[in-house]
Amino acid sequence: MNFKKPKFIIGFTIILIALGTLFYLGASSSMIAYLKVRDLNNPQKNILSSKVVKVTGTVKPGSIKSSNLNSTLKFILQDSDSANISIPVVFNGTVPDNFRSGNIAVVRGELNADNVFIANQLQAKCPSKYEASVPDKGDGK
Amino acid sequence: MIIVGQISLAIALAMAIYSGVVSVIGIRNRLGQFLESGRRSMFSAFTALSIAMVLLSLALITKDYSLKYVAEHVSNSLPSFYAFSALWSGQAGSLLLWSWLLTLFASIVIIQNKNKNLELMPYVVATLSGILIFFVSLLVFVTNPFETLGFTVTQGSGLNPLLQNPGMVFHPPSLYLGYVGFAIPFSFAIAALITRKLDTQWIISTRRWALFAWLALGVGNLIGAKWAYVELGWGGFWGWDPVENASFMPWLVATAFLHSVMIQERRDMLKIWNVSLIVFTFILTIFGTFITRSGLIASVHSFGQSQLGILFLGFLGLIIIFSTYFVYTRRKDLKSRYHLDSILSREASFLFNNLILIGAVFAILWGTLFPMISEAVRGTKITVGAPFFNTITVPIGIALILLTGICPLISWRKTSASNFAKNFRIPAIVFFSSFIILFIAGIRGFYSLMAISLSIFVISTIILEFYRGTAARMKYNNENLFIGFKNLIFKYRRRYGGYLIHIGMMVIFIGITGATVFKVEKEKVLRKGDTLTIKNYKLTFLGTDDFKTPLAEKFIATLRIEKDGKYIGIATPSKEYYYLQKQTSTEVSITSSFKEDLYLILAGGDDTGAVNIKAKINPLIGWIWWGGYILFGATIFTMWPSKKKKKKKPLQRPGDGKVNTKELESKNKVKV
Repeated sequence: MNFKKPKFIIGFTIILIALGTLFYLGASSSMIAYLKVRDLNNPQKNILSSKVVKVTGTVKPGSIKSSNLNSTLKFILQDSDSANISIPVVFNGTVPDNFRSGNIAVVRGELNADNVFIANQLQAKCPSKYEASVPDKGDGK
Repeated sequence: MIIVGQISLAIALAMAIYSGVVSVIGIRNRLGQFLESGRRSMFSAFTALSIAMVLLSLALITKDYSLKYVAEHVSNSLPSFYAFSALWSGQAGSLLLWSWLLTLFASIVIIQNKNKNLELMPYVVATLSGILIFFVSLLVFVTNPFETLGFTVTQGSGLNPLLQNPGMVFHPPSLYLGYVGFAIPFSFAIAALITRKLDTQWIISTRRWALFAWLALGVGNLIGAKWAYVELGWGGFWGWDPVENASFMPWLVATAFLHSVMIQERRDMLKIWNVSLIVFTFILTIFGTFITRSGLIASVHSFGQSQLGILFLGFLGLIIIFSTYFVYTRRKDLKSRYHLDSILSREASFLFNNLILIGAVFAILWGTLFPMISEAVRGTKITVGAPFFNTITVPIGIALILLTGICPLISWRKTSASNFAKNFRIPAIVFFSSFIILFIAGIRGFYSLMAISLSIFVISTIILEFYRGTAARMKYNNENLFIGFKNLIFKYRRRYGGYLIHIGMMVIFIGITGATVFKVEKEKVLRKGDTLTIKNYKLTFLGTDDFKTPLAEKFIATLRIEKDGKYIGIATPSKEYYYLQKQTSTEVSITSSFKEDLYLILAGGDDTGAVNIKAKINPLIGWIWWGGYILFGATIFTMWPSKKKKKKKPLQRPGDGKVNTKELESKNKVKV
């Protein structure tokens, strides 16, 4: 193919520059570190300057406190590998249906001065969300 | 029965391998009988997999828990309809569906091309067999749907309540139809590359397949969006989740492909580009399956990590090496003798559309993979969320709408500036007036104003095209308005069907803009008799209800809806607790109208009978689904075989309407 005509070169260049600019703007404004609970206060892991981060961990069994009527939810998120490292989380908003004690949750927000994680986004995951596990009846595994 | 299922899978694998081997031998030694045998074994593979499909469906419906797959995906009280849909809710079942569809499509292609494409077909069969070998091997060796449980259970784990929704029943198979459908144009492209028959033959032979796969993938995505909207209870329909991106990217590349092949058909240009696009589309479908199945990338659609990921990665690598090799070694044959004449030409506008679409795909791909890459490079996972994707795709979407509108206004090869200005006048007026009217109506925000008024602009250019074409027929062929219009669109299905598809897309764009930009939200705790007012809706809380079904316990709030002071209905948002899965499912209540949806979520309730209601107004969201219906109907219309005998005029394509209709018409009269 032959694109020798200057108009095409100009046209393509404009499109590429526009795409590049959009790409840069989009990327620089929305990068967020995605951390495990234990890395939250580790500057080597939390390498971005923004205080807003995403944290993933396990919802500590029995730690969920919520009123049925107002949508403030409090729970403790513990590191999925070392359960003794944990942070309290406060979340305001619609709680996903699959959010449960013992499941994996991802929160987005930041730590406040009292070391409480104020989340503005909550995603819940269970390892078997769409893939059920073998029923636990019976003797096998 | 289990044994029969396992045997039929093994036979299917043997047939796939046999078909691949004899096709290659037949090609090498020019042995027609071997090629015939290869084709027949593809039919046998189809038969074997059909038996497996029937057996697994029966096992699911009859709840034969001796099969692990059945025990994991259905339960005693699950209705048969959903039990059947569990066929594709799990890994093994969906891979079986994938393979079965592949053999089905391959068989159809073999029958379609019984006396056609004799040089290409052996390579097509060989390529399809290669793909099939991979998928059926997975079924036989890695994730066998007929694996037995080994112990007895009286109750299965059941289907995830979130999946018990008609949308979720049709969403996966529709996506699979699309994913698998692209294997056909891909294997024709590979065949064309190997045989160096790189004219438009492979494109024309697979045009409908490409369109079909594009439609299925698009509809699959739309159904998924609708399911997310109805079932997930967050009021949105698209979250830029990696798995969503995975099915969106091949669709975008395929959109580019469907447009750029027209340039090759018309002008014999862009050969290398078209081959690369379809290869890229197919690679992305496999990549999508890899993302979905590997669990490597954090996604809300986590399907459970499995060793399948690495196998898919290997397969992906093989396809990339294989295709790149052939594109590279055939690069001289892919060179075009022609080049673009003018920037004001239809091919140039197609080219820009391609460039933008591919740019969008790479941006989405980067955003999807970035967490993985950053973790590998810098040791920390860094994600880019929805803002990244929106920053890029919103302006790209607007640019695409603009190109959609400009394209029909300019002709092939070259349009004179004066001609362009003439064609442009009325649509330009429409654009500026809608921009101003929308602004006066109170819509702010440059992007939303542009998106909506440009969509109206596009629709006006299309209406104008229909008008011009019909008027030309009325003038030159003495047809009346109705007949002229009918003949216009039926004789040039591809062109006018394409325009109708564009109208569907514009309606979708308007819906997306409305629903994302202008939504309103309110939350309130209500006691019996309390009211909540949102915009012109007044909701009165009448009370709660609590009852049990075999699957779940339901807690329902009842609200009376008044709009502008008039009673319009009752809303019953609810929460359902599924015993078996120990999971709550929030069922929203949606009251739709042409203009907007009233979306109600029961966020909570207590023993005193008070509830917490979240109300949302989602403007224009219904347009997304209606646009989808238009898209669906228009694509079917475009794909529908014409009555014209193709053999006589293999290259006949819609002309530039107005000028040569008479000429074409007179030719047709002679021949028909």
